[in-house]
Amino acid sequence: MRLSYFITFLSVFSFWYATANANIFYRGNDGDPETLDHHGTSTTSEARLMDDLYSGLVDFSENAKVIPGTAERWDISKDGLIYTFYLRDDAFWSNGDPVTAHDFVFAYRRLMNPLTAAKYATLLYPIKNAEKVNIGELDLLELGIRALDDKTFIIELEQATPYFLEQLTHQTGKPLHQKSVEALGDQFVKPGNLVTNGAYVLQSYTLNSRIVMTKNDYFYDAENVAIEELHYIPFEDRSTCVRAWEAGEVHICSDLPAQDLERLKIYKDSLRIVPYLGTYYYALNTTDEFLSDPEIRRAMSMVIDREFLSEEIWPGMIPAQSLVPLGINNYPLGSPNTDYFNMSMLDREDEAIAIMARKGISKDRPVTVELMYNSGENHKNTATAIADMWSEIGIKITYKIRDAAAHYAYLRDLGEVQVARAGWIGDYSDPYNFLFLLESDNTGFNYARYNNPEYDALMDRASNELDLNKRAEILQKAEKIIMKATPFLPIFYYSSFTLVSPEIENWKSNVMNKNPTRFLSFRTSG
Amino acid sequence: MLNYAFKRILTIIPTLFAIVTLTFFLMRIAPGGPFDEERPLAPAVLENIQASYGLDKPLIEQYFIYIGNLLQGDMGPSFVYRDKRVHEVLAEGLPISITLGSTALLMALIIGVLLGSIAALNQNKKTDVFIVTFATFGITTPNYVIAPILTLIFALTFSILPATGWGSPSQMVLPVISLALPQIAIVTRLMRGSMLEALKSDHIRTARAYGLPMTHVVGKHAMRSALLPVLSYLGPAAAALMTGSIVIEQIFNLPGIGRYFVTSALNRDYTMVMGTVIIVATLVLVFNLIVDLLYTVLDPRVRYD
Amino acid sequence: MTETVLTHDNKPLEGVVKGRSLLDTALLRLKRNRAAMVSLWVIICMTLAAIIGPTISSHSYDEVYNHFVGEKPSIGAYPKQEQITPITERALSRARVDMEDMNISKDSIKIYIVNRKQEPLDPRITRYLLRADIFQNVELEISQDDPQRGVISADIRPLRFLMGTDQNGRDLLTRILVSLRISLMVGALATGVALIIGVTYGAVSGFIGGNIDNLMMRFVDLLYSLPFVFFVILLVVFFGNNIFLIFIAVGCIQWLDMARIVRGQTLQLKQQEFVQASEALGVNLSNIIKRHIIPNLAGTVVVYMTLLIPRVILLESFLSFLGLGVQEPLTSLGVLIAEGARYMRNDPYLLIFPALTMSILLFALNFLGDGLRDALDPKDR
Repeated sequence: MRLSYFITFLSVFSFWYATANANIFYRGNDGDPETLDHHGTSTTSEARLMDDLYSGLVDFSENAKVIPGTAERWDISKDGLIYTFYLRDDAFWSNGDPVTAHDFVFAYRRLMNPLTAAKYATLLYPIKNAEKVNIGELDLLELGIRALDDKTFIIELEQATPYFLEQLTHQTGKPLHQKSVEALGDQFVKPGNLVTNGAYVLQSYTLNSRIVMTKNDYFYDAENVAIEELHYIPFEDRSTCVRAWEAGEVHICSDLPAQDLERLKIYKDSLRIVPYLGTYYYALNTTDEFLSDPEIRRAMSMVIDREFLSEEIWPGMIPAQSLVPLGINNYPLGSPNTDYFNMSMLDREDEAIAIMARKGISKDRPVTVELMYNSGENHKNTATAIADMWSEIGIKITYKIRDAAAHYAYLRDLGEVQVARAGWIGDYSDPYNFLFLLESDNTGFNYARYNNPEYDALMDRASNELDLNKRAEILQKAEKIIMKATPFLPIFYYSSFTLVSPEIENWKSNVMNKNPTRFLSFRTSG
Repeated sequence: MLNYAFKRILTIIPTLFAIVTLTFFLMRIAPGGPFDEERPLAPAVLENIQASYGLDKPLIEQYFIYIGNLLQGDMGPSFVYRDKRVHEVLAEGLPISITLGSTALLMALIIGVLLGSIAALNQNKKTDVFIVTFATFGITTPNYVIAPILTLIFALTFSILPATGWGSPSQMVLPVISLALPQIAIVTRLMRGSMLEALKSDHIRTARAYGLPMTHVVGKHAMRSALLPVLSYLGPAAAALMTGSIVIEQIFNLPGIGRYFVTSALNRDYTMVMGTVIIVATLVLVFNLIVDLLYTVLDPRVRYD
Repeated sequence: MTETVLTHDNKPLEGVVKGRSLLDTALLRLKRNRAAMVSLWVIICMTLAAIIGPTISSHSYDEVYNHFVGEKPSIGAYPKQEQITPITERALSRARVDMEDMNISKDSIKIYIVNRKQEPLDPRITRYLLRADIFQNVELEISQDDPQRGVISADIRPLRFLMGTDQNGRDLLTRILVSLRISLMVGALATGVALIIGVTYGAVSGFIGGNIDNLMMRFVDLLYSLPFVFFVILLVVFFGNNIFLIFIAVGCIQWLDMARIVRGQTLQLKQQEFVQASEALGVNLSNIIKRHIIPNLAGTVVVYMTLLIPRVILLESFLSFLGLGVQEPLTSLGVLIAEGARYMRNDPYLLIFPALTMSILLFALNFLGDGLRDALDPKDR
């Protein structure tokens, strides 16, 4: 009897239920942006917002291919150094102003201005003098860009860069509305102030709750934009997003917890697991006394049963056999083969045991190695399973588990780290974006402190090579060297995990994990 | 009593100052900084950013700059939400946290006092055993277990309540219940204990011997003295609710400030850590003051001079 | 019951008479409280299980069974009849051989295999079966006339996972036993630290009184207003994975209540004749505190302890939920429950068993605490 009162009480409550409006697209996101100033952004969740708010010179298609954006066409000089972009006449800002080449000049100079402190300025370092401008050695005006007239924008590069158009799809390459930024200062990002040129315009932003955008009627392709109102909802906890999705409160979950994948298979096509342009690896400190031996590093890689890890420990991830992930552009031959991946697990194990035995190490005479990872369920499960595999060849693991900030601080300064977890998601689709991690002068990312002049020389040669096929050959050689030396021990290629409501049409899952809202629509059949 | 209240308020200021100083330096000893993320920054960029936040200055100078700004009511820019000042971020979340927390506290008080009194009046009967078991259960089950289970039942199976979000009254139900449950349990136990004691005391026995109606005796006399221990629990309860809200906000995706407790420390968002600490410490100090003052009103034996 | 005459000899007369009767009545009253006695036994059993359980369990708490990841709890032994074929097939396919036929009896197996490649069989392939966790005494007999074919015979090794296995294929029961050990240690450690600091601080403050007392209590108030969860997070960052250091630190925070309670009691005791008498006789301060104050506080302290242990265990579980708890390969009840809560909808047993264990433990501690409080309550005597 009391229960029935309770239920009546609850159903009265449900009248107040915030009814989900049928015409609003609720898009779950991994978190709130650090800023809506795209020069300050760096994460994939921020990139999603920027792709909806702004249109760059080039944009992503529904399949994440490079398509003309605000520039309707472009010329590239024979030596690959001069890019001339012709802006479309019907490109307008959300306040009706035309988008001009000067807006791009303004934005790119601001990006490279040391005072802006843009996190991803490095991405456009291929532009002539960019690096020197960014560290304050050269004046802003020396940056290799200019506006020939209102609609013609010219970029001059330091050296030929075959993947430059790919790089321009990144949010750092997007324009800014010069007038409002100059007039409003750091207030220009506030709702009501923010002027954008993409498919959507910002309406409101409530921290940790939602970012509301509506269709930008001035957008040049507005007639093909189906969704009128868009709410980005940040989820700190992925399980929470799954619950919200199942309760019909969001249409999209941008990432999923591994433990739910098996159960979520009941939603069939709504569950999207596709390869993602990234590699999950362990960095082995090559300056460490024990790990400086490339044979030992090789043995450690050899003995890891990646198929088991991706079947049982972290379902959905793809076993990695190289540092450069699958499906990358400008790499027609793909990554080189590494001999032991063709061997049976048994042979690999025997060989690894033999290698270790030559060093006087065995299961009964183990060496203790410290493995550092940042806290997280999947990292923990993977580390536990790998430690079990390493115990077979006489490596006894002790763990050092830190929160992300401390983890990466230790990695950067590389205190006494021996083995550390890391991962890399490509900023643009080119093997260089992965292989440069191990260049000896890359102090920020080269967690293995790998130093091989031969490798560096190859990487330099690749940067100067214009012919894409020859370049790919050189890069493949370089990757072969590091796969043999194993300073990084690739474990998985990342997958992207998405839940897409059946109400949403035209969601094309792709390796870049990019799905601009302008291409999506509600299923009309009901 | 006014004099006492004034004195207490005066002590709050140096206390806060000590807390601010302690936190400021503790935070900086921790390894890692606000810009150590999964995607590391190029060294040149990192230098630019640190300079733009003044992090390249000596620590002691940074401290005095911070204190100077704080005295002018500016908690500085957040390192993680670069578009907002810390006080703006906190001002957005605080009303939500306070609504959530105070509703839960009120609920815990009303239900706890009610259940506790019922249990005490039916000592050792079935009702009592049932309530005590329920209360112990509430204390022993962490709310990160209770909250997903409630969501599973009411949001996903029966679809009568939303699973996430904030704004409509229906979205408050599950978070408030999950947050309040352990506190209901504790208040129930406290109330039961103190009510039993009150019922045994001489003046209640006398009142009952005079044949005053039970409802009158309990409602007017026993209740008053039984409430005192519950009242002194309010301070710890408020602190516990604040801790609990960290979990609840995460599970129900609520835009309160509880989340900053953990995330700002993990992100080394220095200014946000300071802001959170100041807000929380002030809340606790003021709340304790109010409780102490209430005590004097309810308990005539207590006098502050 | 036998009298506790042992303490008789060298103590002041009044202390003995008072202490003995207090203790005896309390024990007697406790024995009459059924819930408290049951709880006491439950706690004793759990403590014993935590101490010896992991050692006598047939599994090690960090032993990974790759073929039994996330198995459901079962009284019967693994492998289940229907699991043998797929596990065998998987092992064989890793060995790159095909199965032609298989005979499974109750505790042994015979497999007829043929190499996929046109090569003789590699005798090392038995290792794949050994690696499959479920076989022992694996032998391969390569056919005399066709070295590509052979017969593998093996015994099936029964494994019991009464509470199933976790997401890495480790026995949950053994992990619960270990976690119980860790949680109890953590609880005891933090409580011990809180006790020492709290009792000393409270007793000194209460006994000295006056301005110093006032100052000392203001300091406690100040500490009360610290957002201590935040400090714990910082400590985790400083000390990294050393859980015991963290809980010494937690103990350093949890002593506040203790100090307040003890101070209150001390203030009352100070008014009692026997304390005033020793003061008048010129016994020095530390001796009075040691001789009179602390023994007379024992009751309050014990009660508070039984109530503090569950709080520390819950706090540890809260930290675990935030990912700041005990680190691999060790585990605690909090870690298991926090993990189980994540797997709740897929493998509910991963939540149910650890949560049940913690509930029982905390129930018992709570009831025992209540029982002790009732037993020691002087008003009901």
